[in-house]
Amino acid sequence: MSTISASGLQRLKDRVAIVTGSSTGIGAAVAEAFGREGAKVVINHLGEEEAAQSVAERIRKAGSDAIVVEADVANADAVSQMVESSHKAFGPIGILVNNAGIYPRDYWDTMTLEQWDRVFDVNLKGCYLCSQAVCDDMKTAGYGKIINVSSIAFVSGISLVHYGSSKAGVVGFNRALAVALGPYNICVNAILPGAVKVDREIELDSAATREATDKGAVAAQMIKRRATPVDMVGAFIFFASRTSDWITGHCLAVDGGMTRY
Amino acid sequence: MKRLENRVAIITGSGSGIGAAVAEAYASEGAKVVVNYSRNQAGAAAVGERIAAAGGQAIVVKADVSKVDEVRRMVEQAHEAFGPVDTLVNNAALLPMGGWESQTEDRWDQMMEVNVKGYLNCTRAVCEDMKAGGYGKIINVSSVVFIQGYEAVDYTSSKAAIVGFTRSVAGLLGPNNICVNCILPGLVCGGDDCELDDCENLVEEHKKVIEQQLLKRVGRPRFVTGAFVFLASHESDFVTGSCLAVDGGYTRY
Repeated sequence: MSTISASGLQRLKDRVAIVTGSSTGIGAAVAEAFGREGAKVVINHLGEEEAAQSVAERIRKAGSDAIVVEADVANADAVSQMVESSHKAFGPIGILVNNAGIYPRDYWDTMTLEQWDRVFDVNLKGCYLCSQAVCDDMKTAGYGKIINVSSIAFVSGISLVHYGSSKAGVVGFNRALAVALGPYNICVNAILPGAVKVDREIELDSAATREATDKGAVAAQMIKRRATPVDMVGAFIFFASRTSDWITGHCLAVDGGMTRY
Repeated sequence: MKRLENRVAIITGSGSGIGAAVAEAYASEGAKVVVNYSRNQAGAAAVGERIAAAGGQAIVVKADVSKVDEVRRMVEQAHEAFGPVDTLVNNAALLPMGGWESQTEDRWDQMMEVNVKGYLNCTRAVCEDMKAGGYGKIINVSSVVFIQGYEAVDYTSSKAAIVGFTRSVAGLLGPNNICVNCILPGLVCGGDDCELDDCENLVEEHKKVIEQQLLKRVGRPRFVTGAFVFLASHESDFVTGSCLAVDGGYTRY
């Protein structure tokens, strides 16, 4: 599976892409895949310098270029500094992947307002701030691709209410931004990942919880295996590349058939 | 590197329009292609010739997808020429023929026979190959009318049925590692050689659709082939039961 985008097709050759939250998980896999397709990639992270540097290093080894920029996507100043650094290194941005998101295990009965706000600030407002910061580049070029990472929680709901609500917000944002930027030939699409096995699970969940997640995911999916971040990257390349130039405002679930949306 | 190397694909209704563009795109990605037609012999032959001229492999097979026997013979010919089928694009369909006022029971039945049962027939005829291979891709062409509705009630109902068919078959065949997805094309006009002048005969309602698209270009078959290649390739191996609208932002589904 890891070879699926090591295609030598160079479908994103010389494009400049910011992938937010790309030090680990889906973001890291997408950043690496974009690098292999020839894009110059901005690796964004918050407090994970080492992991981000190793993603950048792998992209350079694969023959493309990458920089690492720490920025909290919920902070407008940090975002504009990230875009400035990107301009200095690579020039105007052609692709933005709004991937940075948090999934704290704060449950309904004890969830605080502060927890709710933080999830909305990162998962939803982060999409807005980053999109606003790059869209002038895309307008000037008369072309651009914005990919928002929502979740199948938009379709099916989830017990983490702040997370589920924020990811549904991303779908609304996605459709509205597609309307706003369509006249500039900027395509805005959302990917709804299903249950993806990421390293963070090992940090945050007990072994018993992880086993239950494995079983539950495979049972609910039509494709009977756990997905890893690499299973997601094809859809991101598709929406970033030329072959999707007539698709905008869409949501694509990549979930092994969990939702059939 | 080609993305559909060594694959065998049947594209129903590929004598013209989207089907023809998909057949040519698949062949250019290395797939061996069955170009199917029911009435448009000349168009299908021309697609076959273009594929051969470009160095690809194709056979041209006549079959009415609503006839089980003809579908079975088409699959047999595919086996003889290329071996087991791992990719099916259910595209052959009747186009809208009129609105509610002209709706007859005969036309309703005819629409369902081709647009729904045709997909069933072809899916059943190839899914044993895919099960045996432990891998397969089925792409059903529905339409944005599933979301937006449309005055052609029979056509719209048939295309909505295909979304239900897709989601159901995705569940049935998922354990066999067969992905079943739906593409919802928007308004796609003519062939890629069709110039804007030819679109003067676009009726008013089509102009309204383009008005509602976010990307104002008139849809062309070549605009949609990328989605078909994606859903046939290994890059979408974890995507099943999904609907992908390729419509210039008309529906925002």
